[in-house]
Amino acid sequence: MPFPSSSELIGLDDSCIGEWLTSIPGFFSNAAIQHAKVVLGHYILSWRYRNFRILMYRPFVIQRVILESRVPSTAEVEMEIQDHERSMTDMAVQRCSSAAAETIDQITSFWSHPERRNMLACWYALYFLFQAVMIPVICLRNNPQAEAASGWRDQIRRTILAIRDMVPLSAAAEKCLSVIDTPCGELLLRDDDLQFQEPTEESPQTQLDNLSSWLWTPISADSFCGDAILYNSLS
Amino acid sequence: MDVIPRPSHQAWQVLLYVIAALGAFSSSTESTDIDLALFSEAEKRFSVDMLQTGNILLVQATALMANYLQKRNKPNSGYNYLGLARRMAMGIGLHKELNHSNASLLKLEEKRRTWWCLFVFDSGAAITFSRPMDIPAGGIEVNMPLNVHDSVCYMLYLPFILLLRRSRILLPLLRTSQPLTKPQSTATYVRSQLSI
Repeated sequence: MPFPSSSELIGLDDSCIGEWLTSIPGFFSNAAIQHAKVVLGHYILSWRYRNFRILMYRPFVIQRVILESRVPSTAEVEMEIQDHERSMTDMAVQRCSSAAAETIDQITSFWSHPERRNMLACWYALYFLFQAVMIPVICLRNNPQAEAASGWRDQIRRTILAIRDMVPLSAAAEKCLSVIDTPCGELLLRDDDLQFQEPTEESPQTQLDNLSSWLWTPISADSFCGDAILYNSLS
Repeated sequence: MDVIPRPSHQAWQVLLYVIAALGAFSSSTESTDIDLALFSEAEKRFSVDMLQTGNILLVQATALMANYLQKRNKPNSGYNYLGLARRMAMGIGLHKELNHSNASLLKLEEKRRTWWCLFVFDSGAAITFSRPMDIPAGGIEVNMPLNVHDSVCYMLYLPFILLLRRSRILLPLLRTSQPLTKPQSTATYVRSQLSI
């Protein structure tokens, strides 16, 4: 089954997830204070829909960041990509990055309250935080000189601090830290050397192979075409 | 408040220990192994001949075992239990709105809640573990759980209602096919129920 186009996914996002969001009663909105019993459930719901957006749009981020950056931009390639489709893909990439950034903000803030920490909260927080942070990790690794790079670094650093605080409650936390450190640990260390940081030289296929083991879904470079439509077994 | 007598079915023992295991895991503020021992007790009480029967206790127990195993990083084992839970649930008709005039409102509501909890776990697991979507698109005729207090025979469970509404609307995103019928808003549903 072909993977949906970015415009199709954005349409479904707006009509399904967007509409669902408007159906949430005021007393359960983001800002509303919850009874202690439902605090965690309230947060998890918030993380979960953003996680779904990340999953939906992630292939477009991967294509843009890992694959397209290596395809020499020729006039022929540019003409093949419809303007509309390109702007829809831009929007998909943007929504993915926003969902990831919001998730990181929320979860790092949630975990900064020690009274909220228990094994169950840790399981969900780590699960969603880890998937969210992989977005700025992929972006930073392939384009450490981008305008948005300082934002990515900040997100990754805050995530690392939060996950370190999760280590006492989760066996997986240490592993997550090493998975984050491997691709971009060096890119986070030396602020004074920022201008010398280069994108990774790993091939797209190697990056995708490594990503697969982190993200549980098999992804191969064959799955992506040169244009904005993705055909795949990405499911 | 009435005290409900403990069911004699062995499945209740399984349910008891898996709930204890989940409780021990969920509430721990430091790393613990207590839940592992409790879950092992649940497993000991789960026997193959239970597969020859079908009852709501077993559906609940197997669904919760699946959830627990996922939390303890055994997703494949959890997936198996979830399959058992769903098959058994459909076998006893939890996916249908059966009008037993002698069934209490609370029992009916418990059945709805059990089915939709299972639905949420199942659709969530399909997304998380990238398994094929095998949730039936048609044939599910159960009403949504009500959003009212226990004192009027139903339980407030809003996060769950929103989560399962979310699960239902996500199926079309995953299938990119015809969406399911749009679920009613809670308010509309309650109004329609109370007017009967």
